[in-house]
Amino acid sequence: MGPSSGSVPSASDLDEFIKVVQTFSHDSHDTLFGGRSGHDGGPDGDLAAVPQLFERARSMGLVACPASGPDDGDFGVWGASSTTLGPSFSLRTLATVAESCAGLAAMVHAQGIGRIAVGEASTTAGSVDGSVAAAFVPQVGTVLDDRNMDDMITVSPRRSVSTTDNHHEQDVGADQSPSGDVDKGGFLRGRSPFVWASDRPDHLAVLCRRDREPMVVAVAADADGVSMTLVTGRVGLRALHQYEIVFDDVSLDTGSVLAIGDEAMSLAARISALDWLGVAAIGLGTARAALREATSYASTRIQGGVAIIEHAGVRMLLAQASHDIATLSALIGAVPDRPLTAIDDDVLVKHALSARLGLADHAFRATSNCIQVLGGYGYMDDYGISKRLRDVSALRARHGSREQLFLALTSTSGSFPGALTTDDPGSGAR
Amino acid sequence: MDRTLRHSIARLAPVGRVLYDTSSRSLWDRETASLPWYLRTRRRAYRAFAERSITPLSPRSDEDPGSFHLDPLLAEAGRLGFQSEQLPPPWGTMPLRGLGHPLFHTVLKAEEFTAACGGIGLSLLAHDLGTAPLFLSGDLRATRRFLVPMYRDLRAGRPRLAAFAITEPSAGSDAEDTTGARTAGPGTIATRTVGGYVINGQKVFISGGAKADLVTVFAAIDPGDGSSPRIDRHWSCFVVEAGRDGFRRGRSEKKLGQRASDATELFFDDVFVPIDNRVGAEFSGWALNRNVLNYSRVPVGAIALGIARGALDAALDHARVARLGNRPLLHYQEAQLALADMWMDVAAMRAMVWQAARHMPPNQGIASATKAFCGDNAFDVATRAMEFMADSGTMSVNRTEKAMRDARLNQIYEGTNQINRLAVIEAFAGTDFAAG
Repeated sequence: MGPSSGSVPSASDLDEFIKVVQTFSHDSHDTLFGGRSGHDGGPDGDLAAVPQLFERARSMGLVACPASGPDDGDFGVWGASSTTLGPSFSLRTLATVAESCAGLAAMVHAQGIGRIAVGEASTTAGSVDGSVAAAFVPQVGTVLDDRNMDDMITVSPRRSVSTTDNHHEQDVGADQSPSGDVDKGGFLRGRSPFVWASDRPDHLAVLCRRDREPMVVAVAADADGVSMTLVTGRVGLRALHQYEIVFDDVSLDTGSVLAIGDEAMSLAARISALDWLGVAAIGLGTARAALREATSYASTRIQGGVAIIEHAGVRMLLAQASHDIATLSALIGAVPDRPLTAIDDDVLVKHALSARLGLADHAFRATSNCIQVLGGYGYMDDYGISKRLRDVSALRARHGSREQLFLALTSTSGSFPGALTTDDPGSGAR
Repeated sequence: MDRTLRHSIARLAPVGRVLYDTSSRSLWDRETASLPWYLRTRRRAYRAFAERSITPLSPRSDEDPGSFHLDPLLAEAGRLGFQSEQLPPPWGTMPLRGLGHPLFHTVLKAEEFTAACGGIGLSLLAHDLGTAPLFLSGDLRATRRFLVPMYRDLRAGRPRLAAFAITEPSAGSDAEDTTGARTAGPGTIATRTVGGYVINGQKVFISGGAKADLVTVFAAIDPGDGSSPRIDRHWSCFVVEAGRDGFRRGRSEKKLGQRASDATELFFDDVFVPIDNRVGAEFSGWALNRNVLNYSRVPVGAIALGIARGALDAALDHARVARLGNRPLLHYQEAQLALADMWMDVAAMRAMVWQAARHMPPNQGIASATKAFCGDNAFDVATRAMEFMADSGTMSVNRTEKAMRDARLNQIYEGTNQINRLAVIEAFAGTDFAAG
């Protein structure tokens, strides 16, 4: 249902598609929350309806797919067209879907990031298809930098041998390695605790290292040695699947390797950047919906004899929320809208970091202010706006603390964010 | 302490060495030691109880509030004297030496209980709010009739609970703000009848309402002259005991946080209460309500403080355990800066709470400022603590996401923080408050 593949769509084609996405988002909200305030379901709506909504999104072409075909979702979030069109269309789509449910948008986003991880690689992984998830973040959920190289998942030419209390490596010899190619094959070992997926993934794209050399490899999720645990007990985004994945001597061969060395680092940088941009867009959509709901409530709720929107205190909260949303929108909109291949990695990462930090400040504050407008009702699950705060709080914790993100912002090519828009002729172009 | 510094200190003259703080006591111990003895012992007792009896129940009470049973905890807290502290001996357990500053032990208790769990802490603390109209009215008859026997039961380990009911479906902030109270129509009405009053109406979001044995209900007495009743002119306070005909509890809300504490609808359908159940004089309800809020908002600030402290504790635990590269997160400068910022905010909140608790009687402006400042800062600290832990912060098991959800309520209940700011100006606009 997306713009036709194979031709470059016009701006009006894309706008039309976004209108379809808006309808989907509206319908999804109705399905999940009964289409009204004071719904009777759980705090996260009717989660049983989520798979059906995701399938509908897939049939509409919103969901990217690694393999080419009639349902390949080229114009879906981080689909193949994002490579040529640039990131803004995917970001608009995510923000629009997030207006219904941030978790549903995060599912679409996770699949798209998985596609980028396997689809941008110079080496294809052959049969990678279906649901794909990217496991790119080291154990403590931090930004990848030179300080935490030791935390990365490793590739070893040797299989480890379990004993009662530890692991040690046993040299099984190159001839027992799956490929016999010690440069590219080996055994994958480590843990990735915060992997997002639309569903139980079929394949995983994994950032790892062999000695000090970074690699990105693809492994089948059902391969020997891969164990995936669905993580529950999370603050928000509960429509989304989050897995803790342990790789215990997962056998790799040369066909598993998607990128290596500088190419792998470049892919890692782009995956991180697109992930941050995506969650920022989801936060934007969530805050926009919260503002719409708070404004509607304030227009009808009487306090002190008048609708509360007449009270300066309430108007201030709404105005601050509106200003925050505009600011975040500008930060996300500043990312160059050029083909992804034409955007320098550092430029992309800097914009993404700014957008991700903007999410933490602006989307979170805007949503919180909207809760305040509803007073006690805003705190209750029935009105749904407290769910939006939980979702935004999960987004703002995504892959990196504030401090680590700031440090990352200053470390890209040694330049500082002041140079963000002046050194890039594409900045701000829409 | 750094070894080189220790050697350097050793070279100071004896007086210089004495003046240098080389103690390794914890901050909590230092602050406790700064209190008078009767508060020191209470603070230690509150903390011991919280760590022993509240902390273990916290995760489950948040995850499944329906399975959380307050009674055993209430009985234990009652036996320890923590639920009868608003009257001095022989009727209650308020420290006699604290009569001049009767809020101080309450704020210490609030911080310790809610540092362990915001929801369970509120469940226990809301009882003090429910009983407040009885003693703040100055109505000795009502105090003797309702409060003294309740306190006797509690000290004997029999769980009893009181709840405070002012909020109505159409009057949240109106019940807490002078301007709103002038214009809003009260929804709960008491009509005079032979031997007492008949109460009709509904209250919402009542903390402890699901279990309370006794509710202090604010209702407007119908003026009887055909004019519309007003909150500020016609409100009066009544005790409604559980079991009175026509008194019914509705649903308990599903909330974002502080989930162990119920927020319940109460319905009054032709509930008859005798004259003896009126607390204070007719039409004294507005003043009584405002004074209850003046007393309660400083402890509510302390609840926020406790939640923020709990969040900081969780972030610190994480920083000690989580490793970035080959070192704990705590060894990195940016992590140290973030934690220090959070600690400074918590320390500022505690300084404000302790200072506010010294005012007797509590002042509207100071109490409201304390409530709003601590509420906003607690949410900020809890949010930063969660963000500090990055993805780990989103997991319930790591406690900061719960603290964030719990803290958010402190910006709303007991008057939104906007209403509390207006109360500050109302109290101080005519004074030199900027110089205070």
